[in-house]
Amino acid sequence: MKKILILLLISITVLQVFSDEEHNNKPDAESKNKYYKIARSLYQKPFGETLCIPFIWLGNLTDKEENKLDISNKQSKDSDQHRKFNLTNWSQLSLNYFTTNAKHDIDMVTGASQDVKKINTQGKFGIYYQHQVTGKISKKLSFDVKDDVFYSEKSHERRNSFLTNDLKLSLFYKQKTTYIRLQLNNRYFKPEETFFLNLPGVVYNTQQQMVYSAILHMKQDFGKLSLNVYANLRDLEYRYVVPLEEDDEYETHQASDFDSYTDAKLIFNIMDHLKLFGRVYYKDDLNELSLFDQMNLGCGFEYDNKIDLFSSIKAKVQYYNNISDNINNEQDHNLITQLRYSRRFRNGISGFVSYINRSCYDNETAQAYRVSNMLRIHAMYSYSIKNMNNSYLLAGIKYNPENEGTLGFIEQNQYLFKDIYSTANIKYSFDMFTSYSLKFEYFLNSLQSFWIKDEYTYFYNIHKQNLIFIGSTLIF
Amino acid sequence: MKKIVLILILIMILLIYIGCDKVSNPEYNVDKSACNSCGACVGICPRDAIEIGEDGKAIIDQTKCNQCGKCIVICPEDAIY
Repeated sequence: MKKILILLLISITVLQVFSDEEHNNKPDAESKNKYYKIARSLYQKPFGETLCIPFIWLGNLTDKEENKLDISNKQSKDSDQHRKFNLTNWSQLSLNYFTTNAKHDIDMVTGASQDVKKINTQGKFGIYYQHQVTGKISKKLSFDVKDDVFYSEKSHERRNSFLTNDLKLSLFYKQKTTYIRLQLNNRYFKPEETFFLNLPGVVYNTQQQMVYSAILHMKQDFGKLSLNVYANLRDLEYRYVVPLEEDDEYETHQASDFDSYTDAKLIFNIMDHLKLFGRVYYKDDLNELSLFDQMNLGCGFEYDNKIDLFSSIKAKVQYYNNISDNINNEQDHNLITQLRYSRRFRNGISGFVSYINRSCYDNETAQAYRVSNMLRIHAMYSYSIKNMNNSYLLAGIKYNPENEGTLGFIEQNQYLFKDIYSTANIKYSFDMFTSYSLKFEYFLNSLQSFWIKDEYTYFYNIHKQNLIFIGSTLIF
Repeated sequence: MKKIVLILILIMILLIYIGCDKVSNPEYNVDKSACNSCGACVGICPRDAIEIGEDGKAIIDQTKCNQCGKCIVICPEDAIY
């Protein structure tokens, strides 16, 4: 622990020193525009490896280099045709082949038990398809439709069901001071091939069939005051099986589980970069037993300051009172402290240090407790634009002793030749697993690509698994 | 001023760490700055305890969660702590 604290202090000190140096060496206004443009366009790269990409780009670009790398230029030309329809499509399709040496007992990742017939050591195929359409109805109204279909002959790390379909329909209203979102969600599971849920309060084995939810989200600004209200009504449809006494027979029953979530936050901008807020969160378990009712009353402040183009600091301190019989008394009074410092340097290095502490206080025993601590340090080196396009080397650690979440990772994205990139990633968790992945990706253009990927994961003392993906990503 | 605030916060963290016991019921939460809204944790949770919240980030319902840890393994961004 001492070493970690020393490391944290050193990291912050080093970043601070560099920060002071950069203050005296700011880029001119033209360069700033270029930095922002590149950062934004790279962020639109459709794959998941965008963790640090929004802030990787450092250094002055020539016009030629900028045009070559700026996806937004190409995107605007490509999207001219679509502008009259105001539609943007994003789709990703991948086929996968899954193998594992798990032969019996409980699958750590999926929770699948040996009763599930499809768990065996033979390879199985799967498919994953995502499609998203966004469009504008008028200046103030827009919509978003998103559908994810997942199917696998064998369930693996992404789902607890062999077949799911997740549909989201959203309607947005945006004005200068008003934001309203209406959303309907539907998540379908094929119940015969869904692993058993462990629902508290339900003694029998249950399987999810459908989850519906209706969401209303509103934001309203009143000068320095703003109000944020969120309401979600959710229904879980499930079935459960009751064993009969005679002849080992079973009887299947259907049931519903309704919950409502309400969250209201009042924010007051007391000065630049600093906000005070008060918050009420109420969860109502609408079933007879009301096992999961919960209410939180809280307040706190947020500080968010972009010191300059290269660095920013964020801090948030929040207190809340847990009013619920379903939560341990130890967690009656909670304090959350969050800090994050991000930094970019002109030599291609960027990174951040982030720390979150959750503590609580028990009134009855007058004792304070640690809930969780998490320290995260990421650093990234972006190679020269001329030679390597947007290749990068990314490394990070996450220290989370309370929940055995401590791990480290390293990732290398490398431009190979003719629009082909490779990404290699190694992740080492001290308590749970080690994973390796390798991906080759061919970009037809900035918005369309094909890729092949292999993921190998070793869950300590349990089993190993391998996934091979072949996929495509298209934006049109 | 900035440095003084940082030092004070670090001292506070150090005191909390040294002076406090670990809570008897562990609790998982989501680091929203790291969450990429992929929904993997929602799909794997065996207690139906995770949903996507107002900002598109995952939220763990502490009344339902039994700290099985599957979401920690699944999360591609290591956002659960």
